[in-house]
Amino acid sequence: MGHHNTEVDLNERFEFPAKLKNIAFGLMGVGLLAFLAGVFISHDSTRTLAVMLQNGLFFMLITLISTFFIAIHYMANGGYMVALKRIPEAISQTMPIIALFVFGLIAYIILGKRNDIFIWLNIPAIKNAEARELLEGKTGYLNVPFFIVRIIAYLTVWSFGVMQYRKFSLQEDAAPAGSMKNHINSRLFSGFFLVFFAVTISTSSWDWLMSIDAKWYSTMYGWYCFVSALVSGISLMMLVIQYLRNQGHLKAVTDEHVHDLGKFMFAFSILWTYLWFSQYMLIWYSNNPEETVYFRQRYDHYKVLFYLNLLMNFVTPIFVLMKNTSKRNSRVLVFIASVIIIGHWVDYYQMIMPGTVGNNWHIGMQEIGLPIFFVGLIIWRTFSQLEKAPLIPKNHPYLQESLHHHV
Amino acid sequence: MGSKKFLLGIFGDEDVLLEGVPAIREKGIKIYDVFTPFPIHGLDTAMGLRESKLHIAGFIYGITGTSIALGFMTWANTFDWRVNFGGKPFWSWPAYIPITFELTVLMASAGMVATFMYLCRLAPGVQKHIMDLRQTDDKMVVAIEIDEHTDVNNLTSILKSSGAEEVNTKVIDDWYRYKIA
Repeated sequence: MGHHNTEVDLNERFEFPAKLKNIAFGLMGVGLLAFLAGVFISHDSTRTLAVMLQNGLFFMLITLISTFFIAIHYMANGGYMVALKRIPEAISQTMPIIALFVFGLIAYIILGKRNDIFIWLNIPAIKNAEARELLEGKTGYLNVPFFIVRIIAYLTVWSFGVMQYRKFSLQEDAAPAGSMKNHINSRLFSGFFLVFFAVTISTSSWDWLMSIDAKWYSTMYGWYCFVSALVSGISLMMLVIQYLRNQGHLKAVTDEHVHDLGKFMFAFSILWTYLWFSQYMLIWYSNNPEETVYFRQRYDHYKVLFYLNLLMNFVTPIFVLMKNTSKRNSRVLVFIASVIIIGHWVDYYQMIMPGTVGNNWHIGMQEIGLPIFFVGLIIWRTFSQLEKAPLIPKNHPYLQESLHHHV
Repeated sequence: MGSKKFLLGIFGDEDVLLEGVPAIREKGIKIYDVFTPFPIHGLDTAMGLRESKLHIAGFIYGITGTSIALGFMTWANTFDWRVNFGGKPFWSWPAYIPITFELTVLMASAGMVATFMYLCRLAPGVQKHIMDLRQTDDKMVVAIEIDEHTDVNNLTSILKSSGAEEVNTKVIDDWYRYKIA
């Protein structure tokens, strides 16, 4: 029982099956058509922009989380993830593509002065004098030039990080065995990347999400959005890993590694609930109208989503994943990972919609179509990147630790 | 009380131990326990130990904490001593959640630690039987309980062939399960 993985092939490669490729293109095609049809039927540009913002941000952040996952493991000298490192690496390669989409979209909103999305873009148009005064007080941060500088900084550095980790990893494959250069560089890079990431993941959610309800503010918001993306990002990795294992690939990733990722899903679901509740309770307790308006609107007009959010992101994961055998059962994990991803998509939906489309929300063709398109895009990009390199980073110094991982 | 007699197989290498333990069990011999100076991954499965039920105990402790916290605050704030806090309802359950959470965690963790210590006889001041002093240093000890009917020679040769470096007999005259100094 020495846990020697004798059957692991260190040079194993993945081939993108034609069937899956067709499914990916199919999803992209169907999703795009449904989205466009929805756009033409609804004739509501506010709704379309809000839907694009929600999906662009959600899918960009959950793919970016893969890079964060790699970075944090380098920083903490985490050895167990080496066997599965190529999966977050491949998933994260989707992020720069979606970042272009997000950049184009937000540039369109900003330059078009769309105050139906970001109310602070056109302060003189606000009728209420107090609200005008409030927002004028925030112009030091919420102004167009600084906003554009920030979005460029976030997206460039994040995309650079995504590509840099991939580059180090591929260089490590090509380097002679035992060379520590790329490992040390990755670790050094993690230090800079994580510091930048820690600050910007908060400020970016203020910029793109909290500034929709610009009159309102919450100090928990940045962490809340981050953890929402974090738990869905790890669930996404889980889905890809389960697919590969189901296809007979990735023998090096055992139930032990999967168990650890399952623990992450469980723990971060609780962390998300903790942050959601802390934000809710402080606002409920102090009972200031300028703060309670946020939950009042969501509770009155988005009641289904308000409860669905808690049901899918808290109640389901905590009770299903609590038992340790369920963290080793692939069917249960696939089910819960899907629930978590859809649940946090709903979470992002209810963050964005009340401040943009208001009380008359619908889940229609465009709301369903666009996520289907992004799912197809992620499948296509992830697996075509996975195909380009061996599934095991065979020169990674912690490879043996990972192959013998045991919880 | 009474006395107990053990046959001890002393192992010097964990890889040998991990292969030796299942080999001994395959012969139908019941291992009393294995003592090691450091945790060895995979030894639980090699010894065929059932899954720990500690987490179930933990769940029960946690639920107890939740009920006590919610129950007490509900009773105090809605029945026993009603206080109007900023016009909120007397039964303002969101305000109870942080304390409920804390008490759940406290009871689950403290209860699990206490249970673990009781089951492993680890609490401070608890007397333990030491099979072989080297089990705390660099040797691993496989203890097998024997009595007058046991074929000691046969058992010794099984232990030796499974990789034991030496085989000793240990008699504990004053056997107790739990004793506090």
